[in-house]
Amino acid sequence: MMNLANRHLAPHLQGIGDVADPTLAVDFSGSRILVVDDSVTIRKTITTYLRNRGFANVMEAANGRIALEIIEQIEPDLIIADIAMPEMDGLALCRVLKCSDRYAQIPVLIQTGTESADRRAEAFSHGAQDLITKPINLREMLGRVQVHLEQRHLVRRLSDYQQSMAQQLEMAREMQELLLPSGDDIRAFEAVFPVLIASSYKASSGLGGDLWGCQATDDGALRFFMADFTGHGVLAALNTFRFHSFLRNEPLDSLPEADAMACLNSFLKDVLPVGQFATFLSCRINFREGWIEICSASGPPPMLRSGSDGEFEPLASDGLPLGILIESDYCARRYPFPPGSMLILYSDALIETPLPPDAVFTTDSLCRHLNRLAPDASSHSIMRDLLASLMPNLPEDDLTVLVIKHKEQPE
Amino acid sequence: MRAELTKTNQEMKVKLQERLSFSDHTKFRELLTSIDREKPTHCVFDMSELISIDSAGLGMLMIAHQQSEKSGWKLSLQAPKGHVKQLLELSRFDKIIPIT
Repeated sequence: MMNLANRHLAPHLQGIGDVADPTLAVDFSGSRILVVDDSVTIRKTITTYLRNRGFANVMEAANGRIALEIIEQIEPDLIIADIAMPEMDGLALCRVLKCSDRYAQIPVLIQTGTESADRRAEAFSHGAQDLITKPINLREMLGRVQVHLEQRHLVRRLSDYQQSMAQQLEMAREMQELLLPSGDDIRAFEAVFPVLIASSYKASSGLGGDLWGCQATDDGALRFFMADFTGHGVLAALNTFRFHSFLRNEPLDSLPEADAMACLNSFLKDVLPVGQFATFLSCRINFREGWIEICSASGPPPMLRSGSDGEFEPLASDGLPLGILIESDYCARRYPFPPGSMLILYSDALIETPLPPDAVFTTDSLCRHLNRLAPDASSHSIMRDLLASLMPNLPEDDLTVLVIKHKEQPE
Repeated sequence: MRAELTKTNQEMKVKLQERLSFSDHTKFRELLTSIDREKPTHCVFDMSELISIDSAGLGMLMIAHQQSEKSGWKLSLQAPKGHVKQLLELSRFDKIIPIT
């Protein structure tokens, strides 16, 4: 006899993910089917028919209560239940299953007989997936069984796929956060340099295209950088990994800022396809001599306050983003940065949330806002204030903010 | 993004409206194919009604620039305003694509 349980999935339904090999045919002959009916004759008719059609795991129960006991032990892939039965009828069984986290997804096919059309339709509101009308046409029943098994299989695969993707993304997110300086790294810099650093990084969709870093240079300065790759999500995140590896392997900190930028530009021009690029900003702080040198490739204008009694001002930061034109030239500008000075670096989401023209901040209003804060506000309190100002709007792009303060020496 | 295309002789005008961002990537590629099909000598992107652009949007302008060089038409951007104008200035896009 032909084994009808061994049906192949339609080609257009295959290939949903990498959880199972999509080219393999799906064999439903091992599916567990539970037939629940108080009539021994009907039960035997159905189970014999299904077994003869190749289903090897067909189980029986005389009513809903017994069915639940079996379900507890052997979770079925599909249930065929009569609507009217003593002790617990088919609809009650449906209700119990739908309320259970574990069994809610099991398809239940309800057999209906002389019930009114309304009563039959009611089965759906109790959680039934389909109806089988008595007298039972066995071939039609088999067709429905196969359709529901296939559907359940696809839903399972899709949900396995989603779960596996979510896990992978979560692991990738953790890996990406490791690219950024940790709390310990920051404390180590604060122990060596007269600096207070507050940082915040939040990717808009798990993975992001922002990257920042900090390193001590050979000439006793501290060098920060912030990069923002086109777009966000997986694509942008891959570029941050590529860039991070390049930065680690190239001894750029011995170069003047503008030359280091040219070197980064040439690397990115080489590896990025047209349409992808990075805005970038680097700053070298010499605490001993009290100056800061900024070099920008279209990074949002940093906010600088020179000294504790100065005012915040946006710095010029125009320039072609990295990775667009090989012949871009960059220049570094130097500003005083005596004790008490503060520098705020940020990715564009700070001035593009919500999207312009409705953004909370423009460059100018951000500057005015900073100047209204108490002059002795700490790096961390400024950070908290800025992030709170965006609420309740959620940035659509990745948001990174760095608040760097040149610590005043104790009297 | 919404785009309205008009053609006078060999010159095309594309009026870009609303926002140009990450999610418009496919639509923007299709727009470039439509322009190529018309074989213009010159194509002007009218930016006056575009209210915002993000970095992916700037990336798409770069793709348009590359496409124009490949297909032999001249691209220029016209009348950007507000946030769009600021971002084009900050990123010095006038060095690559003429802005009028």
